[in-house]
Amino acid sequence: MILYYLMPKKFQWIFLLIVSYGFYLFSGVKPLIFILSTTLTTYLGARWMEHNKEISAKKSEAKQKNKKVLLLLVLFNFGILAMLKYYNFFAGQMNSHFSLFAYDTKLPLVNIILPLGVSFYTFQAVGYCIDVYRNKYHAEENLARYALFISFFPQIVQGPISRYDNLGKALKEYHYFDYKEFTFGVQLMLWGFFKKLVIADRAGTFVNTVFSDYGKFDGLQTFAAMALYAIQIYTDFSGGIDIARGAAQMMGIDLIENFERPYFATSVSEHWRRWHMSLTNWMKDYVFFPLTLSKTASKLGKWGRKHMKGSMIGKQLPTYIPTFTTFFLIGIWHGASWGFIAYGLYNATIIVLSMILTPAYKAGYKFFHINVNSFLWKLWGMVRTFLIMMVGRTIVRAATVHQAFAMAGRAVHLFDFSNLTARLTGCGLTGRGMLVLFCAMLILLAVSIFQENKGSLREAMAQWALPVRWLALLAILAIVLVFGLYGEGYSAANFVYRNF
Amino acid sequence: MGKDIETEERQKLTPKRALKIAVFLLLVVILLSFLSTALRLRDENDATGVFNTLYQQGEDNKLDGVFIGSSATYRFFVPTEAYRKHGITIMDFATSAQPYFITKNVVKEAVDAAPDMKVILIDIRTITKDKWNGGEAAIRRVTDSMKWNRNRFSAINTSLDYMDELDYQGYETNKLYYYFPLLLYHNMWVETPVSEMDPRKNYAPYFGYRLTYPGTNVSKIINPYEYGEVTEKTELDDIQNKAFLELVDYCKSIKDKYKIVFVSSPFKIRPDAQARFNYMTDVIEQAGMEVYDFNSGEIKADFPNDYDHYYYERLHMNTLGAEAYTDYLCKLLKKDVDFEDHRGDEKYSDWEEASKNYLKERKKLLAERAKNGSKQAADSE
Repeated sequence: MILYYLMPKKFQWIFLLIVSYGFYLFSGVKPLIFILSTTLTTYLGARWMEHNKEISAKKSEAKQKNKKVLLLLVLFNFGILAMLKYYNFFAGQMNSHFSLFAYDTKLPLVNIILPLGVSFYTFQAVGYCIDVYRNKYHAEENLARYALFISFFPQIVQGPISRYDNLGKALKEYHYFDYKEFTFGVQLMLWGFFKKLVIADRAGTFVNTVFSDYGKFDGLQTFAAMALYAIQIYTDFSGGIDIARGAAQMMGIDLIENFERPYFATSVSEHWRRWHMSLTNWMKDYVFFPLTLSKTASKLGKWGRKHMKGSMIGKQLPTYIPTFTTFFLIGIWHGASWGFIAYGLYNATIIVLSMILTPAYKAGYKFFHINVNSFLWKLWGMVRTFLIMMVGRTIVRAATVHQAFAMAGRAVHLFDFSNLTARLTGCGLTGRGMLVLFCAMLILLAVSIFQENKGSLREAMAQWALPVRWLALLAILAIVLVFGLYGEGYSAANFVYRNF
Repeated sequence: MGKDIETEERQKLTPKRALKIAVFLLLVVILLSFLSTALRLRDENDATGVFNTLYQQGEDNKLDGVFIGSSATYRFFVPTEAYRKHGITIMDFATSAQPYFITKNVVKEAVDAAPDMKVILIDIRTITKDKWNGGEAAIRRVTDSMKWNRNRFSAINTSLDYMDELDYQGYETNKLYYYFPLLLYHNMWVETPVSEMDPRKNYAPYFGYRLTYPGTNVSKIINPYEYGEVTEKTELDDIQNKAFLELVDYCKSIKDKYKIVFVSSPFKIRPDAQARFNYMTDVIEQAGMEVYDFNSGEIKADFPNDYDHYYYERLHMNTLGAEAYTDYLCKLLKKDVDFEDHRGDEKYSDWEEASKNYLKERKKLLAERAKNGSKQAADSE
């Protein structure tokens, strides 16, 4: 860090490039081939599109040519991603269907180790190509600078999926030491470690115990494990993002926000506007909107308005297929399994159903005189959304979709409130471990409530008296050091989303 | 071409802000240091207490010497008796199964902690063994208890190098876990009672000696004449020899300031071990230092060993034997070293107190033995 700020500013980006590739090399030499091929193809492809724009007499002519280039780029890069992530799933499914029809043919399964952050950097690179195609900005001329945009080390492990007009621009700037940015970056990293090491990994112990043998546990334990998994995945992922954003901020680079307290959402669609925002925005910009605005969707809309006059479904019809497509893609983006597909479709179904039922809801609010802006109603919305997402995440976490539904079933009827303490401490955590987890979640809740209502806690802390601010920071550091799960048997680098 | 985004809003690194960062980092270091020392397990043999005692005694400049080693030290030499009978303050600076390859670091730690002492006794029984089996725990007893200094890091590095050379299995190979024990111990609060944590204020009540129940009559297994006098000399294996020579070299470099004596305490030593010890004796004497061998030669003949009553088992003396051994050793030392008699000096009130406590504890132990003995007699009737 000292070196970064002391070196001539024009070399800062080269330094970051070297560090980024050095960091990436820790995951092995082979993964380097994949990130390099994505970098090279998308760089050259974007330059090609830029060239087409320059030499073509008409815009439409350039667009036609570039459409083909873009298609090639998308197919190539998503093809690599598909081969790496989905081939074995596909082959496994095919083999089981072959055997169903008594075919002896077997597609070979391949032992593939996923390159670090492959889903994240592929989406980032493809998004860049689409933006160049859409003339949102010009293609980057410098290959090394572009390579840095793809490989920038704080975000390579698990995002966020940045856009070139944000991150690319930021990486070009000269970065002078800024005390406020630096200290805010440190604070954000510390908070990320708190979420990851104190909450996520501790909740993970409970979750792993119950999910690995759910038949042994009663409804309350199962419900607690499902709820804790929802907390675990949030704190693990957002904690990792905070660490990445904090590290970047210390270097004067702002990475985009990826979370906005998603469990405060009062509906599933709002939840997705607050959760993994860089992915949902990517999907919105490059999948949902293009599909909704496509000719097919337009025709479907016309058909709906004509045949279902006055009906809400008629008006909403063009968005249903894009919604299902988007969430299907969000599902499989996470990985190749029926669980992820079911998870995507589950979310799409809930969102479409809530769209369809909107008139009924409105009538209900009017009839029962429900003030939808009241705190209690919002709280109910939050609880309801949390429960819906909790079930959705169980589908992903459980070994099979069947297990997920079996667990959801157990969680609502096999309750046993006898010897409650022993039951809750019999799931991989001791009484003290449970107490620490509970207190840490309370701290997270308090901070989240503050952020939701008053904005940045770091800005507020900057106004506190120095001793109080430092005491708070040292207290959080002490909590992370003492109560964090790290060291022997643990790896802080084992983020859940790293595998996606 | 990069873009300059220098703005007026930027909070530049002024001397005041640099100072703030430095002070905050200092507070972080203090916090880490506090947690690293507070969050440790109390070793069942209280190694931390022994180290704490050395540091405290060294700071107060109250030590005449240290007796370094393993159980061949802390089961044999009774510092409070050396004080009560001779006015000498030599503490047992020993840990269970102490790795011979870091004895050099342990000696250095003692010298750094108590530079004005006069005597350094080193029991080298562990080097004479054909195989050392202490494992990671034996290393940690030393390195986790040491102060954070270069010698500690050297002890860790040396230990892991030797463990690797010895092809030792089943130990933590990542140095970070030794450098920063917090990585290993920070989660012990999950199950460990609070009373067993934070050994910072733990001190060895009898200056490192651990009382040993004198109930077992081991005359049948202690036979001083079984092996006869072993005069052969066998060189140590390469790894042991390297560590031994390093230790001798280091001791040679400080021998002008301290009387350094290598000791083989009285036990039923095997002939092969005695042959190795004979080789070591030659090397030590050639380096100009002294050896007290209680298992052969003049000292063995002179020391009034009572094989019926002085042993707990084959390898270790009981409290009665340890007292006799201590007395004999002090007399030997006094022939060469001019010790000041500290008895009655108010500065040594802690030794006085420890001596009284030791005698009380000893009394209890003997009463227990008498009770058990009469019970056994009644049972046999």
